[in-house]
Amino acid sequence: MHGLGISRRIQQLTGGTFVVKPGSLFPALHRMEEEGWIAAFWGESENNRRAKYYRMSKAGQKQLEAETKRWSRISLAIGQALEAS
Amino acid sequence: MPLLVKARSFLRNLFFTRRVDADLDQEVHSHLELLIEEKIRAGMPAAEARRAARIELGGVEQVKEQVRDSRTGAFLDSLLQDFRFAIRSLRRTSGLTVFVVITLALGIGMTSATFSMVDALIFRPYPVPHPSNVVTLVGTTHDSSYENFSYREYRDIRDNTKSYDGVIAYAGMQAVGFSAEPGVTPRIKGGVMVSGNFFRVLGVEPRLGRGFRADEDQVPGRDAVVVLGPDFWRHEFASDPGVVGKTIHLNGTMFTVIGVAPDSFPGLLTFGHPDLYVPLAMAPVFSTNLGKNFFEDRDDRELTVKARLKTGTSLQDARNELAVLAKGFERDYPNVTRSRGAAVYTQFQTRTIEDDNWKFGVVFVILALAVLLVACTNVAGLLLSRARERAREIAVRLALGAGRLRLIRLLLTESLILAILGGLAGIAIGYGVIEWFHSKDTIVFATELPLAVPFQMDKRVLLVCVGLSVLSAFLCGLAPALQSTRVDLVNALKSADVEVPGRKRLWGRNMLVVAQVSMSLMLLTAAFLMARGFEHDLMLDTGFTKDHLLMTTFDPRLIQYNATQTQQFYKLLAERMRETPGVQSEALTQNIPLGNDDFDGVTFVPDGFTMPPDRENFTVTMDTIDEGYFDTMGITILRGRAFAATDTADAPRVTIVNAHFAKHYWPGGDAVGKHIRLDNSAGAPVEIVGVAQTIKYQNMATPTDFVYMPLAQHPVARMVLLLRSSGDPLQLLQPVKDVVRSLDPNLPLLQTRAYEEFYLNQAVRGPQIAIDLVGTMGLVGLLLAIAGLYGLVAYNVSRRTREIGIRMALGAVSSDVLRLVMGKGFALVGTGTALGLVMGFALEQLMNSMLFDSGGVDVVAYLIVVPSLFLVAMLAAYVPARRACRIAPTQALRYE
Repeated sequence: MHGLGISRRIQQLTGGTFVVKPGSLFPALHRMEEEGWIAAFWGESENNRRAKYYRMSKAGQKQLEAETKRWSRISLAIGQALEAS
Repeated sequence: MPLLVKARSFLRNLFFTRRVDADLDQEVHSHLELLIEEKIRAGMPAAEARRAARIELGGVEQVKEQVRDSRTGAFLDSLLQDFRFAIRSLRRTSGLTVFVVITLALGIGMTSATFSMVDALIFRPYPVPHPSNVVTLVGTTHDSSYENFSYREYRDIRDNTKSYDGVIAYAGMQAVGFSAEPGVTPRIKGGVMVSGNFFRVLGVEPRLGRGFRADEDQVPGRDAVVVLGPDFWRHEFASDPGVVGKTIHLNGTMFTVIGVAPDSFPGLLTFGHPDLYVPLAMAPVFSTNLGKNFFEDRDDRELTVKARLKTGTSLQDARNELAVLAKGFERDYPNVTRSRGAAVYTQFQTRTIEDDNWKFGVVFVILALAVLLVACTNVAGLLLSRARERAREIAVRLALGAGRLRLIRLLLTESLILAILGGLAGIAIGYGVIEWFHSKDTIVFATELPLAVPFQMDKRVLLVCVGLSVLSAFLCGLAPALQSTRVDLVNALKSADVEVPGRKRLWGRNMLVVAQVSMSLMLLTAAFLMARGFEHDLMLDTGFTKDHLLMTTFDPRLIQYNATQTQQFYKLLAERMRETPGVQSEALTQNIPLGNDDFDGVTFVPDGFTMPPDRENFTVTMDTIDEGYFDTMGITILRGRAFAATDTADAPRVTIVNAHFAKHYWPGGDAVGKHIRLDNSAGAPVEIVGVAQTIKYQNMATPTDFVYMPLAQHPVARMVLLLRSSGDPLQLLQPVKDVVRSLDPNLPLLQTRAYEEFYLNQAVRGPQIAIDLVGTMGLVGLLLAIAGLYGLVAYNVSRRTREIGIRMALGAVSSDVLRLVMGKGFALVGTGTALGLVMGFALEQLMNSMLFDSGGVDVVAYLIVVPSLFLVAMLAAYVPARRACRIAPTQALRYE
């Protein structure tokens, strides 16, 4: 998926709550690439335009699982805390 | 694994910057294209879509910059940018850069050169593996905390201690008569007697052959084996690898070469690099003390004892163990070991206790650091004024969103580059000074022994240079960087003159002026005191005549004379020399005043003197002389008589003391006719027959008690012949050689020279170099301070041009203005002076306690220095103030 695609997908999935601007998107993508969580390659878009595509790597998969676990723990905790008060 | 990925990206970012950047550029652009396409597809007109896409993207360059900042190694990248920028901006102001670099180089160079002295005298580790384990074992007495041990004591220590992996002993370097063939007149080389385990315990592997075996140091006089020093091997044997197994002659005895020490081991002495090592058991060939038996007498203390501490044994354990042993010595041998303790020293302790010269080094370093500090304040002042001029540039950068920290970093990078350049130039200067120390004519060792100046630009000195450079970068750069980035943006952008006369800001520069004045004053005080101390020592009447004297040294042991033969030789030598035409008088002495060798000590109890409760006896320095000595040296006998030919070995024992001694022990009465007893109160009585004038015996020393013994009653092997000539003393050289040849053609003449020349090299040159060094530092400091002071004050005043214009416009007359600015300068210099005087006084106390009493405050020095600093400050304030007064108010108000 290319950068714009990722950005649009997030927008779609979150019902427009999160709009990732290029100023945040690209630094984040490059950081993740440097960490080895995603791999980048040049490809053709559906309209035959050259675009940079990103694909999740194995390390990225692991990282995602870890982060997801962490997040659900935190959100659960916060949810509980908010309910309790 | 992730680390590897990261490292790869880091390297890629660092080395393929262009490719990474092109890739990023393409990516952002393709993103833009995709966005546009998306908008068009959604039904926007092409132009509208392009605009909307650009707005959504928010600027191609900004996005790219954000990505760059988040990259691995972004910090390094920006650091490189800072460096490139700093170098560009420094090149633009190359004059200033050169001045700053020279200023810092002088400070750093002087510090490195002086630190190399302290390094060589204290810090340089022994040239052996694991040098920090090597400790020194010493005896202690009431008067001294550094006493050698005798051979018997060494053996007891070696065999009865458990704290060490080995205990070694060695004697001081001594003159050894060396000849490759028998029958050739021996030449003098520096030999050291060492214990059989010396090389093994120190962990030194000979480069050729082997070290000593333990059994080669067992039987006195049996194993005549020798290990050569690396330099000696190179020069005398042309690095012959077949030297092992050859025989050489030392003091007339045949020795077999068994090994050559490696280049990495020039010996354990600070100044000397021994030519030869021989086992202690060969002492009969080398021993210096005729009156004692090296192997038997527990008070023939000639050996330095060192040991390798076992791992896991603490220094305290070793100390306790040795203390117990020393108590045992005192109990078992009360006659020779009364009130002697023992101590174990680390290398640092050893070096600082055995020799006082390091103190001079430390004072030199303090002075050099003061020069560096003055240089730093100078540079800080310069950078500060430069930063002012760049205020607008900095304001623009801040306005455009540059972070303050980032700007401070940029400015610090600039001063760091300056400091590094200064450091490099400083290392070059330091290297030059050290080379100068090494050059043949600078420091002359008036001896045949292999002595060398140990100062070197080694890695510790280099490290100090680098450290000082970085430190001075912060000292010079931090204040200007902090100040110039703390600007009021609006004001700064409106005009180039961002002078907001806040107290805080002025305070910084005023501080610099005060620091400058006080530091240079302290430096000058110290330099003056130091120079005066040395000069005082030089001017001090030595108390004896130095001209028209020829000196030459004999050591009949070199050709195997026994005590009787030696005595006979000196008797004949003196007689024949007296008959030689051109010789006015003749003298024999064990040591010449202000010579290389330490005087022997004599232990005694003065008759009729109430001893302090904790003392058994006293020890003072002494010399052994013949009856011609006082006459030849021009030393006055104040009371009683000089030695005479009648004071023979069979006659009652007599001695002559100096006036200091006489006054010390018989303050009211006459010392002549009184007795001293040797060693202790039960010792042999010796009658004092004369009191000689107190002379200067050693350099930089206060007058001390001194005792003379007649040669006939106190035989010594190695003696110096002194001849007083009517004309050029060197003309007596041939007659002396003739006489000696008639007595024994094999006996070498050692250290033959005119005493005056020797005196100049020995006693004058060292202090003179010190005076030069200190004088140079003082002068450089003063010049830097004057330049800096002028710059700072003038700059401060010129910044007030507009203010002066306003004052003038409002009706002030120029005298008011002058009074105002000059009063300010006066106050600052006054504060600096007061501070400087206090610091100078503190330093003087320190120097007096450490080195010598230089005789209080030098009023003349202050009378010269203080007014000249005031004058400079006044001039510096006057010139720009005058100019400011002269220009028309309208102009001044527009002045930027």
